[in-house]
Formats: sequence, C-alpha cells, structure tokens
Amino acid sequence: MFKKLICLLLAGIMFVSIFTACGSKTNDSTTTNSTNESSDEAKSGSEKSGSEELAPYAISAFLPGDTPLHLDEVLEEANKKLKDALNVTLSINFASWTDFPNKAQVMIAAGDETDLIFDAPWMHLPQMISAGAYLDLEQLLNEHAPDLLKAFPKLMIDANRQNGKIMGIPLGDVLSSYHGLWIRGDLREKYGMPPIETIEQYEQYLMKVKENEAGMIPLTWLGNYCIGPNGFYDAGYDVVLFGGNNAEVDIFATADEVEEIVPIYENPHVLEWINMVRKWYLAGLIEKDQMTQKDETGAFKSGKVASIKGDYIVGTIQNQIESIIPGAKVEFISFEGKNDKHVTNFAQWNFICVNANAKDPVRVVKFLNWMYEDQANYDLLRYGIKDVHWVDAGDKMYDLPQGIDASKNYNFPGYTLMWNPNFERTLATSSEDDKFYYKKLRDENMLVPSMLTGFTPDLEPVKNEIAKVSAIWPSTMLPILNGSVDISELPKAQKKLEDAGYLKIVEEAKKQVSEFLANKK
Amino acid sequence: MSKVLCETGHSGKKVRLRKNGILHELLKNKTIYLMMLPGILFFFIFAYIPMVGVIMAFKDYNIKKGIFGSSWNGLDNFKFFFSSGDAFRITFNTVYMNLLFLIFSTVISVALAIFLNGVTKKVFKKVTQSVMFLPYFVSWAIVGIITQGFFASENGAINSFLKSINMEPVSWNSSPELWPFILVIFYLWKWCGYNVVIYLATITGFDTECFEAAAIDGASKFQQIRYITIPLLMPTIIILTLLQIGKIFYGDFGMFYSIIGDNGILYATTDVIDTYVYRALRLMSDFGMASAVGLYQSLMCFVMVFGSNLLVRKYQSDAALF
Repeated sequence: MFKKLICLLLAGIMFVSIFTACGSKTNDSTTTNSTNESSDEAKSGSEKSGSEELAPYAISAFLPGDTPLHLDEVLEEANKKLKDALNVTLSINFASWTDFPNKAQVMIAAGDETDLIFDAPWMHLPQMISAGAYLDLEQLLNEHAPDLLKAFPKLMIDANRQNGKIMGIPLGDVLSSYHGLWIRGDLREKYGMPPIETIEQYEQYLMKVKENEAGMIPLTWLGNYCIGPNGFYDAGYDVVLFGGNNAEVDIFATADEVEEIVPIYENPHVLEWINMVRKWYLAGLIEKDQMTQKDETGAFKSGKVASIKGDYIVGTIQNQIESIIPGAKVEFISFEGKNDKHVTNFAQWNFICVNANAKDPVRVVKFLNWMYEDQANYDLLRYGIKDVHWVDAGDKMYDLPQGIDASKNYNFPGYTLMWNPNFERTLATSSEDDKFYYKKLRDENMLVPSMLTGFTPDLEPVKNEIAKVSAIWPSTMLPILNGSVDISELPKAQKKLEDAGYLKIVEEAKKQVSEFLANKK
Repeated sequence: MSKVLCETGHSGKKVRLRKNGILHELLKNKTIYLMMLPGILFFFIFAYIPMVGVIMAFKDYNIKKGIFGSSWNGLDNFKFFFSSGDAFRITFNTVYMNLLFLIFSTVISVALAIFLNGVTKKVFKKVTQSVMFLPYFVSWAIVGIITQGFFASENGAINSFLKSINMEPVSWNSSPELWPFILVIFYLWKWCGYNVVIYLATITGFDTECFEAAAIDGASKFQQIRYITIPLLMPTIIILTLLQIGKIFYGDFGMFYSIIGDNGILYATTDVIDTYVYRALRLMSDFGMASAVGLYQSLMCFVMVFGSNLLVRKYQSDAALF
C-alpha cells in the first residue's frame, strides 16, 4: 500500500511538472499584456482626473534592448506632461536584442494591440509590411503631426518610404550613413606618417604594422561578409547591395548616374578590389583566418589588430581601448575627402512603426508628434530629467551632471524610438572629429542625393534564387571577395552562382532600377 | 518497488487479459499507466500536435493569415532546395558525416566499455569513466572556441607546435579535406563517455555464471569477449545504432555551426542540411521553405528507421525496435 502511495505521488509530481513547465511559458507570453493591464490601471486613474475632451488613452511601445535604468522616474515625469497635453500615458516594454525579433513577430501574429513597435529593414520590416502588420502613416502624419513633419527633413522621410508609403518613422541622429575604418593613431604617429586619406597611404600603414609590430594582425573583419563596400570600393558612390549581403548585385550610383548593372564578377570596381585584397592577403596584411573571425572589435580593443571597419564616432571605443592599452588612440579614416560632399541615398537603419491593431492610431501619432513639439519633450524622454540625468551645455550639446557615473545614469537608446537629426544633442565631451562628422552628416548642403535615393529593392520575385545563392555564396564568392582564395577560382565560382540562378537576380535588379528611374522622371 | 509491481502485473495479465480485455488491463495496472500518462501527454503536446504544421511546407505562409489561412502553393517551397545543385552534395555530407560518427563512436565506445569492465582497480575505473564523461557537459559553443585555439593558422596551438619542431605549419582553416576527421575526433571526445556508460551498464548486468563457466572450460579473456560479451551486447548495440540511424539525416547543427561557423572555404565537406537551410533562410525568414526542408529530412529519417528495422527483424528478430 505504502509503495502504491509513493507511486501515485510520483506520477502526480511528474504530471504537475509538465503543466508547470507549460505554465511558465504562458506566464512569459503574458508579460506583454501586463503592461496593458498596468496601463489600464493608469487609464482608470486618469479618468478620475481627466477634464479634457479627449478620452484617456494608454500608449504602449515595444522596443529592443535592455530596460534603461531610471526609466520609471522619467516615464512618471513624462506622463505628467503627456496627460496634460494629450491625456495619454506611455508605457514601454523592452526585450533583449536576441529575443526581440521573434517576440515582435509572435506578438504581431497573435494580434497584440501594442501601439508602437520597433522594426528595421535588416530585421523583418519588409516581411511585416507585406504581412500587413503596420499602418501607412502618410495621412495620419499630414493631419495630426505637423511638428514631426517639420522636425524631419522631407528628404529623410521620402527617402525612407517603403514601396512609396511611410510605413514607419525613420530614426537617425544624422541624415546619412558614412563608411570608413578605424586605425591606431598612436601607431601611425610612431611611424611618422601623415593623417591617412588615400588607399595608398593606408596600405603603407598596414605594411608598417606588419614590419614593426610582431604578432599584430594589420587588418581583419568579420568572416561572414566582405568589407569592400564598407569603406573601400564604395568611396564616392552610393552602393546598393541588391539581394542582400550574400547574394548581392552591387549597384553603383552617383548624383547623376547609375552605372550599368552587371554581375558582381564583372563589376570593374569589385574586380579592382579583389585584385588589391588578394595582394594584401598574400603580403600578410590581412589575417590568415579572416574567414573565421567572429569578434573583430574585441581583437581591435585588445591590440591584436591594427585596423578594422569603423564608425565615425570614436568616443566609446577610444575609452575602452585606452583602459586596456594606455596611450592607444583610435582614428577614423575614410577614403572620401573629409570636406567633400558625400553621396548618399539617405536610407536609415531603424524605424518606429504603428501597429495595425492599435486601438487609437490618431492618438499614437499625436504622441509621436508631441516628442518633436518642443525640444524639452524630446530631451525628457531621450536624456532624462534635466539637471538630474543631464545638463544643458549650450549649442545643442549636453553633458553629464558632475559626479554622475555614465554607466549608472539614465541612457535611453534613442535610435529605437525618437532619434532625429534636428533634436539630437551632441555630448559636450566628444572629440573634435566626432563633432565634425555629426555636423557634416546633419548638413543637407554637405550631402548629395544619389540617383537611387528612395529606391527599395523588392526581393519577393527572386526569393528562391536569393535563398539558393546565399547558401553557396560563403563557399564560392566570399573567399574570393575577401582575398583568401585566388582570383583564378573566379570562373568556377561564376559557374556555380549562375547555376543557382544568380543571373536572375541581376536581371531583376536591372528591371527594378530602370523602372524606378523611369518613374522618377 | 517497480519490480514487485511489474511482476504482479504480468501474472494478472496472463490469467485474465483475454477475459476482460483492455479495460481490465488498464484498471489492474492503473498506477503504472498513470505513470505513463505524463510522458504520453508530453509527446502528444510537443510532438504530435505540432505535426499539423507540416502543411506549412505546402503553403505560401503569411503571418497575418496564419497557418490555415495562407494560400496553398503546391510544391513551390521544395523547388528552392532541389533545384539548387547542392541538394545532393549536402545530403551526402550529412549522411557521410553521420555514418563516420556512428561507426567510430560505436566501435570505440564498445571497446572502451569492455576494457573498463575488465579493469579491476576500482579507483582507476571510476576516474577514467568520469574523465570520459565530462566532455558531454561542455557545450558546442565552447568546443568551437577551443577548436579555434587549436587550429588557428597564426598562433594556433597545433601550428605553434609544428613550428617549434621545425615543421611546416598547416593552414587548417582553408583545407576542407581535413575537417571530417577533425570533427570525428571532437564528436568522439564529446559523446564516447556517454555511450560507454550505457554499454558498461549493460555489461555489468550480464550473468557472471557464463563467464565463470567459460573460464573453467579454458576460454581466454579474448575468447570470452569474442564469444560471450559481444553477442550478449548485440541487442543494445543494435538498438543504439537504430536510434542513431534515425537521426542520420539530421546534421548536429550546434556542432557544425559552432565549429565551422561562417567559414565558407570548409563548406565543401562540412556543409550539412541543417547549416545549409539555416544559412539560406536566415535572411529570408521564409517559414514555408524551412518547413519544406524539415519535412524532407523527416521523411528520409522515417524511411531510414523503417528500412533498417526491417533488416534487423529479418536477421535477428529479437533485437528489432518494433
């Protein structure tokens, strides 16, 4: 009898454990709802005090990243203002970068009513749009968001339309991306070289590193892509990679010309690059195992590598590298003239979208508009409470209050909700170079719109070919593009790509670009 | 405890099963069946219900419309995989690598188990067993980093060693022909300890009388292994092999992706179905195509399991799984 009892108990425990496992899952999926509940409470709370004509409304946003410290304090402050202005309250949910894409996808698929959702072309914006997940904002913005439309340069909005529609607000602190590389300024000075402006000078620098620094790799980049169109062969051009990173047709555009579209293995710019990179690889200027590189930044920071792909903002990396290697100096270099005008398509990386299931899209758009109504509103959400989390340093700059540790301060990831070139402030302590590039890339007079501004590739017609080509790209084309394999292998790679249907992608690129240009005229 | 219950269950079954049928059987051994219930429920919820999703392979899947609302598109999703010239190469790679794993790991695990069983020194036996079992707990992501440490062309452990004894360093990361063997070595390192435990447990369960009788009859240690241990071990080997064959069309994604990663130069020999599909669809996020390849894998596995079980039943019917 006793044994039987134990058996029953065991069976019971196993049984229960299955359902607790399920239970924890359901808990997980309702976390998104919990904000709705809490905002429901806020709703009923504001109903009592609400004397405005507008019914109270709770806006919820779902963004990627870690929840910023002190977010509650700032939201409380912001909600006071928002209640007075629009009778709305704002709540924001964060999910880590790794979870966010899937969670957002599932939420949308499940018909969740969260009002604002972050998305990006490199995440799943095109797929979500074709699934009808987001609202077309054109009319709503025209009717309810005059300040927002004033805050964003028209060019920026127009260039980031998706198939002609405004499917999200493009978020950017500057108007254009800008490609280049990081080098070690301290090493350059040690070799007595002038600031690097051309590829020849850069090659000199890499060679000096090879000669003088035993055990240091002159140049490397992540194994899964080609660094060519990230600062080398795109200098002076707007290069569109039709088909994505691993099935690309490189389209070279300038302000008044789109060069003939050819397969990548016939493109003169790319061929020139391939020859150069192979030479560098054989000379030992590029890491032998570049194709296995997974953490270029880590290698650069620890002083194992003398140059990697870089961003024009060097503030953060400079601080990090200095704490590891005293005296190290990071320099951003670009092979475009520093004072030349930059050709760009004004494309932005990040978007905030309005959920098609949002209950009151008008109020959501009004909230978006509110952020740009007044610099103070933007500052509150972006930088926190004035004089507590940041201080005004004048001239569109901000600084941290004295004695505040940056790592423990309010730090909102602006690029997920509000970034705007006219409202964003520059950190007062950033370097002269950083300030220079901020200024240049926010100045429409320094930027030249490329012929392909506003062109969004539609990959749906060739998705089979892209899937096939991107599966073989890393073993055929990529090693050649990265110099690991000799150019004599190119005909073999070409044959394989053509077998996988690469030429169809080229044809589609030609067709879409010529259609785009015809419509433009 | 369970032994006692089982025995009463068996005796009851023999006498009254025919009279009262399944209901009586359920009632008689209700506790045992109750213990089965969680397992059955688990597989029903997580393995059987999701099978409905198979229809996604034949649909132009659209998130908004859902699985059932999306429109049918026939065999379009399969086209991408089969019309690429690679379908054969990666299927071959998958099967070839898994066969290598299967053969080497079975032979070596059985040999080690027999060897360990022969060891009389208890401390040595336990320590060896633990050391062999330990890699089982190391995740592939970490193994991937370790491999890089060994095989890096510049400053890698092996190349540094080769240089120190004045030999020409090998550029491992651009020599695809070497990697099947390297992968086999890592596979063995990780899984052998686990398999050895299973075989060792089986061997320990053998009736010692057989061995004693053989020893009295003058059989040497090797003869005992050849004519007693291995034949007795055969059913276990066959079952474990069958289970492995069932997975022969599944590349161990964690292993291949952690060790090979995005190094395209090595794909010629190490690209398996799973990594191929992952790469092809990472950018596209097309659920239809992914399920199509998943379905292809499952079908091939089904055929393999069924076929190999048929063969086993023909030659040694006791050892067959079903």
